[in-house]
Amino acid sequence: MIHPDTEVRRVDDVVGVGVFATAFIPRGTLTWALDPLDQLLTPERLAPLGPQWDAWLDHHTYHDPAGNRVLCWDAGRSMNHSCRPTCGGSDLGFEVALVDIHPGEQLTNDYGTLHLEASEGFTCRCGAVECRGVVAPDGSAWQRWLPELRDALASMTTVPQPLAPLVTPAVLRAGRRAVGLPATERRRRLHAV
Amino acid sequence: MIHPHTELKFISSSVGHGVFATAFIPKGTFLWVLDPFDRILTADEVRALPPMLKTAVERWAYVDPTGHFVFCWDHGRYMNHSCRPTSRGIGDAFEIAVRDIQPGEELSCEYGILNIAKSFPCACGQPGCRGSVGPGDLERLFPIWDAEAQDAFQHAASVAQPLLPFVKAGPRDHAILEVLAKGSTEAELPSHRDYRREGVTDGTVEGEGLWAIAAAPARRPRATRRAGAAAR
Repeated sequence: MIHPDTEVRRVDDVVGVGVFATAFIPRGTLTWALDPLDQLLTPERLAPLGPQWDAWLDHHTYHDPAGNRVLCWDAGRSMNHSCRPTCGGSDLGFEVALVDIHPGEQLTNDYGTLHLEASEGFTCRCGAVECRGVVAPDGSAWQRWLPELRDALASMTTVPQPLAPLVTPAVLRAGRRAVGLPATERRRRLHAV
Repeated sequence: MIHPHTELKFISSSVGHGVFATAFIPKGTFLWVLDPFDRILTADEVRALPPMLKTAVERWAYVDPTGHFVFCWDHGRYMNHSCRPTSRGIGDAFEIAVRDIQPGEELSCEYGILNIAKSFPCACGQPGCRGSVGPGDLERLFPIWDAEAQDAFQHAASVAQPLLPFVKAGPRDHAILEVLAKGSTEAELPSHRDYRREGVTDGTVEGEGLWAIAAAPARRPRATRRAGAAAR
């Protein structure tokens, strides 16, 4: 589920829609969490589908590290790519704001972290100073954002977390370990709002 | 899956969102079809959801005649009710346009076939608005709804049907698909009366949602047909 202080807005005819903040979302906020209404589409489930579904799958789903596709039930599936993303961490089962996101700013991912297939590369027009020009399968993308992700996760307990009920302590611990933080945060738990 | 020539638009804080045509859509077009990615949840599965997701399902899913919650994956789930809807349900998996729809016009369906848990006031503003939509409307009005659906279906083979490749056909839909594949519309459609889930009347359900979870387990439906409409 995407953070509640967001809305889908039309960007332009090339990009289509995007997800925009409607209120201030501080760094370290959970911006998305994989939840029971999101659908994990295994290769077995996709096998019987005809070729008419190919474009649909590329447009609406992303790849998880285990080789499944994930169909988000809400605006989470409309998040655009940026070479300077405001959010990161999807492989952890949740995403956090890597920077403070102000009202009207877009929630974005680096699609390089989303296990693209060769056919899914595209020319990027994100406009970021760091823009790579082309987004393609990229094994180093995770490493690129690791410092930002670690800092964001370290500040998770200091900001309101409306999505806290959707992230189990086990998932959170695994996420902290994956970015090199101690598994538990001694001081405080995430506080839901 | 909702017709590709549609978009989601915010209407007002009281109504919420609605689905609007972005191009002309002729009478007889399937405006929505059930597809493999529309989520079908049992009442127990809905009960087990975290509260924030349970709220979403109770607001945007509809209940089929077997008591299952159907949660559309796309903006089909935001279609609003109208007492003079742009489409009627056909079979297990179709909503068919009962008149030409102009660009900018809102797509709407009949919540009276969707096994609503309780009556709700209607302010659709259409000629013939019933003022209130309730679980008992179906038994009274199904002959009118059936006639509209049958009339619209006569056009189904002569208009573009972009959603046909994506339908997840139910038991009653195979006959409809076979007829259409022959370029014909010679089929007697199942009655809207068969949408009703037996055993559910006002006050037999828990919760605040329009499609609140049934307190009693679903009894065998009158027919296997599912409500073929997306719901707000």
